[in-house]
Amino acid sequence: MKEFEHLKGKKTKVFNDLPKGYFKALKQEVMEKIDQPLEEENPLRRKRLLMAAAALVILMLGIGAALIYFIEPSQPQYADKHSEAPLPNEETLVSQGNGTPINTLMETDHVSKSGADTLSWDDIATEDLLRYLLENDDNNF
Amino acid sequence: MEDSNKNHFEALVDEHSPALYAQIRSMVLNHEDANDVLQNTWLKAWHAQSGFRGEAAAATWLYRIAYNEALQHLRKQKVKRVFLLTNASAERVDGSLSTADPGKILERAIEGLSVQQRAVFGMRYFNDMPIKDVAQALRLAEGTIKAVYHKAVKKIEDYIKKNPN
Repeated sequence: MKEFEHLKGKKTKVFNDLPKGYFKALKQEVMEKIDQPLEEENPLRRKRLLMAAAALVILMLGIGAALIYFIEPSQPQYADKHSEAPLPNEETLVSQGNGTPINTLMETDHVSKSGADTLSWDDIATEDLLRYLLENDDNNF
Repeated sequence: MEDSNKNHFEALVDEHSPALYAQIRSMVLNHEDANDVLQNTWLKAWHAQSGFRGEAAAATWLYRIAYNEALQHLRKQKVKRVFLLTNASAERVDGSLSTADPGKILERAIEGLSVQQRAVFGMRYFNDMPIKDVAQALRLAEGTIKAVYHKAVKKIEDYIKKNPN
């Protein structure tokens, strides 16, 4: 086999650092050891290991809890950040394609500065709603 | 009964120790470790005799124990190395290594293989085990064994080609 070209003749030369009579000595040692009872695991050692593992888990939980409790968030909350943003004034609003200013309904009249992100039915004037329904044929009910 | 059992076991130790040693040595790489693992293998085999159902050949069963013992030994070594922050390659520096010795070159080439490749190579090359038996001992598909062995041989051949002396 071509693959074995470089491996030929090396099989017997490998691991040749064995002490003389190694296998005979090994057999004797093994036969002596099989007469001895199996070494049972020390229950005290096992208990200690379990206690150490439990202590480690408790320590990790403690560190985690301390981190959560003491470290304040470095980034401001999303809502706070947006509530501080100034509302656009009329001049900065871009007009729509038909030339009607985007703020036809005068959002500033109905949407309070602090509640910019939440528009409820109470914020919309009844006349604005009626005007919208009359102007849109699709809503003909 | 006990005596006949012991005699039978002694015969097994006599017959299979050299082959098991070669397999273990090719996995753990040094004599001291191989000696420990081989002794543990025989002790495990003795105490697990009742678990041997005779479905496979005794040799395959022994190879399986040896493979598991060697893996366990390597895992322990790895943990020890992590805690002691020692370097595996530094541990292996051996003054007696002569690059002119063909056996040593092969040993060095084996060091470059993965643990699985070493196990498969050890069984197949040193012990002439059939692919089927290797697959049974390592609980892998025959195709996998063939592929792993082919890769191992290729790596060793490449190493020897690069380091002819």
